[in-house]
Amino acid sequence: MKSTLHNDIDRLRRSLERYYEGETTADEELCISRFFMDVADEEIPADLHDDAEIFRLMAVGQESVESAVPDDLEAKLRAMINEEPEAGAARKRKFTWLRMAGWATAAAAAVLIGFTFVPAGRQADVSTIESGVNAADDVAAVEADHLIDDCDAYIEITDPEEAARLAEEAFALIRTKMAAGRSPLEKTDGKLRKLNFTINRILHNKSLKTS
Amino acid sequence: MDKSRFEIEILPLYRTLYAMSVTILGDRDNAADAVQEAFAKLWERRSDLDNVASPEAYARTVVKHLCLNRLREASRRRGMDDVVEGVQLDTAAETRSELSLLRRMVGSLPPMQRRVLTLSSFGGCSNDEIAQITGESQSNVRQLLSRARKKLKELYNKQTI
Repeated sequence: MKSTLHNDIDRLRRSLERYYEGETTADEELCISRFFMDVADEEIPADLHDDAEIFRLMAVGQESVESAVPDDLEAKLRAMINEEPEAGAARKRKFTWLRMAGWATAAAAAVLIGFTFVPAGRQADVSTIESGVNAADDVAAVEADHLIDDCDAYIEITDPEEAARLAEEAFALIRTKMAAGRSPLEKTDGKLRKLNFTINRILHNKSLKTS
Repeated sequence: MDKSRFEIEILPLYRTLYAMSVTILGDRDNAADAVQEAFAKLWERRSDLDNVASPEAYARTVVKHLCLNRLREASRRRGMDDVVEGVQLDTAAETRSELSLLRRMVGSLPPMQRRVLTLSSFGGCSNDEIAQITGESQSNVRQLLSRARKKLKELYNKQTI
């Protein structure tokens, strides 16, 4: 034990020499400080007592500076951390393949139903409308199944570039369908206007007869 | 680095970082602002903290740069007197008298020795950091620190301030 302390004191003296030459690191100074705190006064050589007191004074000064931290600083820092979402610095957008398939399906189905609603060039009647809607539904269902069948399982897309590529594919599908369906839609719109005019004329004539 | 790790590893550093800031800037309010700004940057860059060998050293570097920028803007040089003036004294009489003794001893040093000693002993700055803060060369910093510490020991021996 004594030889250990003796060795420690030798090491301490060498460290103190470096300290007074301005060559010690923060870790070395911490070791010196801890030695003086841990070792009893009577075990410290007399010529090192002043050094021990100086280190103790500096530790008091250091503690005073650190304890002068404003009372609310920690609370402000915690509030700042708690304000931010826990996700990393770059927000990750998660896309799911099924969600995109759903978008494409819903949009494509809406368009398909639209342009197959009434076959162009034919007068609309209930049976034709119903068969048109059913046909469109079937087509939309097949399209959706096709899109969903393309993925075997639920896939989570976390790469923003990959997600953007898949979204573009879905929108390209929609654009294609819409471009194909615009002409029939316009024709269908014209037919519906004509049908509406005819129905109103029939009702008007009927009301004239009964009045 | 996730939030819980940040709270465990980085947040507790605020006291030592504040001590560093106040010894560099010599102003408590300015130091508190600098620490808040530093933590905002550290929080923003928390994903980088996983890739650094020492998050504490990284945090010190962030604070140091912020303080240096503020110093350049303010062009101020404050010594130990102003730092200790702003310090809350412990209620214990013993500590108060020790701080008073410390203030007198450090206050009697030449300005640059006082500045370097303050940054080293109360700001926890390395010689390299002190060189960057003060604009002195590393060998000058070492020399100033050596003289300041020897003078302090001499003053303590004499206690004739």
